[in-house]
Amino acid sequence: MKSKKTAAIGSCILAAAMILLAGCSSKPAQTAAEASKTEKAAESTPQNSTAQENKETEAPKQETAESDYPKKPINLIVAFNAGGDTDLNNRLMAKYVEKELGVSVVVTNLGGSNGAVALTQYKDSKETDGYTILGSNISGLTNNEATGVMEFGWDAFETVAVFGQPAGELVFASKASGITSIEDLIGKSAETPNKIRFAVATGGGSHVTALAINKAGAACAIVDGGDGANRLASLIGGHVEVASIPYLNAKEYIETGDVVPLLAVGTARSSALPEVPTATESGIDLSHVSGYAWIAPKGTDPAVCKKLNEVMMKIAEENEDYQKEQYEYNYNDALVMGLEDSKTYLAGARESAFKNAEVLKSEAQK
Amino acid sequence: MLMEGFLSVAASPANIIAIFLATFVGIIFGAIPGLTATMAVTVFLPLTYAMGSVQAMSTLMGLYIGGISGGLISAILLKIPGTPASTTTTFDGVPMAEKGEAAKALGFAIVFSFLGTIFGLLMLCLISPLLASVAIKFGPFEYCALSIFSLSLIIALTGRDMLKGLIAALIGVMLGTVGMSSYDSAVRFTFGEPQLMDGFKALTISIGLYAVTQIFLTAESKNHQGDIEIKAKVKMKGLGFTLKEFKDQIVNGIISACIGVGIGILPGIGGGTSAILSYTVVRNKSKHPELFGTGVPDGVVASETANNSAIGGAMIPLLTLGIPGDGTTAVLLGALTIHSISPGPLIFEKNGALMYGLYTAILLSSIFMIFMEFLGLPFFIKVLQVPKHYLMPVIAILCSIGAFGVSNRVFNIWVVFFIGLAAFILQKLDIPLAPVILGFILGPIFETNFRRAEQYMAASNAELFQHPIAIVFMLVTFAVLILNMKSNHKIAKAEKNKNDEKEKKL
Repeated sequence: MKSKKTAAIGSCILAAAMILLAGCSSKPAQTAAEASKTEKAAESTPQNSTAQENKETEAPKQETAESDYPKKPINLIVAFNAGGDTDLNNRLMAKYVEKELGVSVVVTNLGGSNGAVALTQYKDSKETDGYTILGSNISGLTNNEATGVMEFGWDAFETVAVFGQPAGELVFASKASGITSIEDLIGKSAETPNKIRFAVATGGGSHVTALAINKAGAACAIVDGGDGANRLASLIGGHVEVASIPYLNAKEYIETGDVVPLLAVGTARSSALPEVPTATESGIDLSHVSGYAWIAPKGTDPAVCKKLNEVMMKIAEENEDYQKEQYEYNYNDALVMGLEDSKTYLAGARESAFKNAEVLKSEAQK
Repeated sequence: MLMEGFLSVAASPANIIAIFLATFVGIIFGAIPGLTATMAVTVFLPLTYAMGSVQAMSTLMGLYIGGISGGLISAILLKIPGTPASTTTTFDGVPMAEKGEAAKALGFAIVFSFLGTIFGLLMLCLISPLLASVAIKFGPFEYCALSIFSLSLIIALTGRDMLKGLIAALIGVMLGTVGMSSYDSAVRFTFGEPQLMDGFKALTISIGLYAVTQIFLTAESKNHQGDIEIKAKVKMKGLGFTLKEFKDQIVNGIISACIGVGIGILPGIGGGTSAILSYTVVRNKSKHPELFGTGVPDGVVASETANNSAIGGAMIPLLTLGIPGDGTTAVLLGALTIHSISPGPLIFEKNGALMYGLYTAILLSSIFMIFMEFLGLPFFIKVLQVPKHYLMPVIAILCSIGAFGVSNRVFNIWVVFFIGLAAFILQKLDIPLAPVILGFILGPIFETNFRRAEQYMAASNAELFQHPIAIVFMLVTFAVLILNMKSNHKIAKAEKNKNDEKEKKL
């Protein structure tokens, strides 16, 4: 019995030692893995001969610049899960930045709670060497603060760039519901209160949209539908009659006629569906700010942020492949804002987020 | 279009080599505890950017199929599921290996992995629009009922001591509530620790429960190693089993394959649950349910067929609806979109050739898989001959790498070892571990859909009775509970008779 106990204690000590060992060894292991990744990436570039030529002609210029950044792979932490529009836009940008800078940009998805999981984790990150960049969307950086999920916002980070003009979100009705326009929705739901269901992501931008439409006279039952793909599933599955869904998710179903676009929730009409009116045009008080942003942990060298910003702007302005590829996601012209413009844009987005949060808060108090 | 798609893969040496290598790498990822199919797909995604769309998707499919299948190797030989989906394979695979039937267990697992994948592929080819239309009929009520049904299977996993099974499941459900709620982002049970905001991950829980516990148990038994020596000298004859034995498993295989596809098409439920479900169903319909868990091939067949056919199942909503079901398919969705392919109802019209190319890739990858795993068998079995005091530290390190890789956080390594220590204590108390992981996966699905269903009932409570699928699931849940109580009773009776006979003989 005693030997059993000593064995158990021994194994615990062993385990603790292993944990320590594992903790220490994980970092070198990671860099080794990264290094091998870069090698592989380098191997695979010959297919993109143009990119490599670019790199070669530019190399001397970079060396004369103020810093030798980047020397090693850059980690891009995307604060949203793989497969969504934020992930796609970030990955696409990463792909071209990688070609432009000649180092790997290793994309990692750290999704959850509208980006709050990753943003909270990297808020006080000590990885300020410029090799850890966060990719988010504007909503993650502003709405989380406005709704109190995070106690900080975009200004807790160094801004790198605001980019991308997504096709945005629209309010759709299912074909089966027979609803054809936003006026139709307001009229029909006012007649039968709580009968028409509106799928949203609780506490998200789509929730604000639904509340604004209800405020404009509709009486929809607002239900949680999860992320964009899942809201689409509940709309085409007949579980709800109306849902706010990103254009990208609903695209194929607009073509088949299974979903009917009613309203563009952005400040301007959607470039992909120019015939659909905006909220303002329909007399609904709503302004959603969209787009994506790269940020870096506070304390990251401003020169590094500036350099990345310039590289991104150059890609958006000059790289035809990027322009073409991003058009297929966003149905809009490529856009990267300069450092100051990005900050102004984020500050404006924060204001509108707080306004929307007020709407959500007063709803919750009801 | 069919030929064009087929030839785009089958007539291109570069694509065939890509699938070959991807399947190989996938098997390795699957076989190593801590590295999973999802990780294989995620890690190699950036490499596929430079490829054409057909080659990229073929590569990713190879990784996915190899990864899910490779998990069976360590599940049977080391009692550590290489990938969470093969957890159930350990139930009967390990006792078989301990009896000296490792080759037979592996043979069955590999062949039925292959058959399961092919069945999933057939369903994907033939009736995916139909299955997809069933999948979208699942709303909050249906998911809620399905998760209650799946949770009720815990009773089947725990044998006669239901209380301990429920304790284990509850621990799993509680672990699932840590972090931000997926429903409304409310932060729960983090004790102010930001690292816990993200909650726990299925992978870290699974590595902790199985791999780390195994390491502790081995360390504990170091003074009497003779007792745990597994018969390592295994001779492989043919496929490891006879034709008659194979014939006996055909019905089990078909049932499990159907369950695999059925669960696979439901976004969010996943291959692990399908394996547990089919294990339970096969056990219930068996003439000898009491032998399950003591090393019968039926259990291995049920688990491996189901988790592999779930691949085809999971591809259905991804391709025909654009809705990813799990971590792996979410990455695949990203890959498709990066190559400007929008999955959805029009995918056949717009990218028909790619779809047939994809089918060909799945077929080729499963053929490569079965050959590689059979040829590799003698080497895999050699693992048993490696002294545990060399093997286990290596596994501990691999687990740490895997845990770190989940979300690039050292914190997850601590979680793995903490869970492992807790699981070691649970094992000492004879509390089963499988319900913990099941509770962890299903708890949040239940909660989210329960709360959604509540919202749906805002207008009227009559809503509750307007969901026939959900009602059927609830009825089946009751039926399963009663059947299991009966079969437990049967086992208890059989054992009692045996004891009585023994006493008589004495």
